Amino acid sequence: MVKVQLVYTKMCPHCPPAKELFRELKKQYKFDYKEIDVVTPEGQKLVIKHSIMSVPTVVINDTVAFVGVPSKEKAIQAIKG
Amino acid sequence: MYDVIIVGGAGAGLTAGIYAARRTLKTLIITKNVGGQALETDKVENYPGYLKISGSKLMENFQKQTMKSGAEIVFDGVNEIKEENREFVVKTDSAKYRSKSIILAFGKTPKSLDVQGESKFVGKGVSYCTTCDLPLYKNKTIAIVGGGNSALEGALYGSEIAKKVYLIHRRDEYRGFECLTEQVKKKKNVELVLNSVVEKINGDEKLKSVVVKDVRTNKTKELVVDGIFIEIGLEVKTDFVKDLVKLDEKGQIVINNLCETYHPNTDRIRPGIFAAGDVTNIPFKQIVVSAGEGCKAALQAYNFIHGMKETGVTADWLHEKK
Repeated sequence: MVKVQLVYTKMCPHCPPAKELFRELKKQYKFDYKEIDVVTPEGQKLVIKHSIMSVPTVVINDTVAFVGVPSKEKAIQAIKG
Repeated sequence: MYDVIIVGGAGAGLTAGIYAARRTLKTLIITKNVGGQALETDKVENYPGYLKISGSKLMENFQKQTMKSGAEIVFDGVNEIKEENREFVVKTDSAKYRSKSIILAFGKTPKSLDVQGESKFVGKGVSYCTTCDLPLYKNKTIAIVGGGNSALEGALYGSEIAKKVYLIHRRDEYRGFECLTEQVKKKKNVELVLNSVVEKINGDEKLKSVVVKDVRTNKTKELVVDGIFIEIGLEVKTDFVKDLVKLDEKGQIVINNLCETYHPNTDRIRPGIFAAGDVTNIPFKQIVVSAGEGCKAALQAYNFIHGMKETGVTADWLHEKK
């Protein structure tokens, strides 16, 4: 199953739209989905591993897929693999 | 068909949403994000009712209250607004909506430096939001550009996270609050780079360095950094409404005391289009002012929709939504 990790910070204005997009897609498509705050140990690991420099960043199957909020079409394409 | 479409989801837009929905107007808010510039403020100590609250928490509360009031929120970018047969057609990146009235409340956006490499490295080391992206630079070296409070606050926050912070400003002193400047000067890992401008941003896949020029000597030097935060102020981006409403010399939407707008280059009221908050020519850019203006715009939109010429409406607290 496709694994989607959305990396965010609490103060980021573009993170809520990204979260909403993937939460909506989760209702229609089957994929593993997790939202990860960068200040958590898990978030810090991802930041280092993928050299994340901006939020929201969407990691799909262990690869950075999007920096910023993707369009719905692109997001669907990515989660369909 | 909506009664009112509000473009923008920060202090003015969300408040307009609360008031419009409580007036039982079918209300849609279209915004790219929620909270706008208020999110950049770590501590808000001048919003009545809160002794101290973070900008993000305050905006989260605004959003909850707006949605509880019954307004819909769609995250999207507005590209065009047109009037057709006494209706407004709003085109976004992904859809088209119709309404009887419009409230423009999309605030300001951060200014860019317009230097070589800047656009290439957005999201790969170039950021316009210290509060959003600074946590990603733990133990790294960063540059912050600007001389105002946002840059100074960013430097203070950055000094606690990053290994080293360069604070670059084109003048010989910072123009933010003196107390902030003094705090920044005490930070051992913050290097003040005054009288300097950024000329170029270098890197390959990611940002590697910035070239700064001393404006007094014209000498340049390269600073090796992992990221650069641009905090040089805000601007209004009203190009897409310039044929719809009157703008002032700064590009701000001109409004009267009822948040009504005017036809471009005239003093004729533009019926059905209202504006509120930082995108307008009101003099004070404060969250509380934006909220008040958003309220006025919504109530006046209500008057417009119901064909009321008088400006008065009955007390809002008498109309609890069931």
